[in-house]
Amino acid sequence: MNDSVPTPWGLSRASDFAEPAPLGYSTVDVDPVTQLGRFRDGNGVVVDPMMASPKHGSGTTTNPRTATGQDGGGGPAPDSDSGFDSDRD
Amino acid sequence: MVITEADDVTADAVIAELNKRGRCEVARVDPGEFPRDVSMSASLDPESGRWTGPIGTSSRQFDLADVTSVYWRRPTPSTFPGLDQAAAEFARAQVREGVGGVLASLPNARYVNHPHRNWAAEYKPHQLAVAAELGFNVPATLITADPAVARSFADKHAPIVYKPLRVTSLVREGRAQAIWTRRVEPGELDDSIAGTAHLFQAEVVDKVADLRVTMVGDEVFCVRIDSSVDRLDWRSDYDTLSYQAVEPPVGISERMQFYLRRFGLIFGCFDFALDAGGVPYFLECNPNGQWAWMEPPTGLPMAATFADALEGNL
Repeated sequence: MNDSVPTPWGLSRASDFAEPAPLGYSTVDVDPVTQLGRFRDGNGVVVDPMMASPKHGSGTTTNPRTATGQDGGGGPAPDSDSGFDSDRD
Repeated sequence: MVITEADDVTADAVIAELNKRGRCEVARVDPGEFPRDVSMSASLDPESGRWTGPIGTSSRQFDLADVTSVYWRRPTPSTFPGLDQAAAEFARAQVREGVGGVLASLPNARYVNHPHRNWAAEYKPHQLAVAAELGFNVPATLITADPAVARSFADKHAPIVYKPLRVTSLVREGRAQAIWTRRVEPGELDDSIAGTAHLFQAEVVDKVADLRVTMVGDEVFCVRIDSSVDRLDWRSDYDTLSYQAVEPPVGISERMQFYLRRFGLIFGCFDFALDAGGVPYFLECNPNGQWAWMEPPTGLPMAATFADALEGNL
């Protein structure tokens, strides 16, 4: 008996995801006073995460870091950000 | 209390607004840092059923009983690098239920949104069913793993589109992959439909624009998204988009209010396709969707309205 099923058709619809804007920072922690994210570049200098994400070379799509499917960077993520409690599988 | 990780510029926009107003103290907590950098000991009062006790981060110490509102954004799963897979999964599940469960059970807190309500509202089949029941225009929809049924749906409703029921992380040859909503061309359907559940929808023909409507309480922020190229799924290329704050089409604000109430949500991001006749078609509602990138081009005061909601002023 063959229990296997084919690789889902839906996966054949996958394509390269537009690269997120290059990260202009290397570390992030929480500012103890303001509770805002505090982004630093490789030299430890505090940078603005939005300003520190310039668009790069032509032909490469860069998506805003707060946009859907993109918040947090690093590839496509669910639009919904329940995170912690959406681990339902 | 803002439940999120350090890298979350959307939460930053709301926290900055709350700081500016100065009416409440903000604590940013990522339960994923428990038990190393976040501490919590919660005691249940058997009389009142209330959780009390200290919770702390590296920069904030407070009592669970004093939390007035919770902005549930993007907590991370906790990590246990020193443990084997089974032990780590056990430990992670205990944090999820124990810490996440307590943070979702604070009786005096208003939640934007409650995480369990978000979870329940994420299922597309439920979204579409409720939307149709409330009188939104909803495209004909099929969920199937039967190739013959899919072909028959395509014959009847062409053109149709495919969209994944749930987005997961996909990587091919080291590059991140996405599955955008695209038209299914005749002949593309094959027997690998049998591989899992697939969602097909009649395409909204004559689509001229998209509407992304963020509703916070009863406040409606309706943004028309136009693309310089003909695209079904605007998320696939932000460089081609322009944004314009517009009045919502007649009738949808009331329906969105009913929708949010039905799911117990304070806010939601609704996606509509607008056809040439100005008719909006409900595509989905993301219960914890993104909105901050639309604020600069439209000038809509969305972060301020989230702050209002957290202060209890909506």
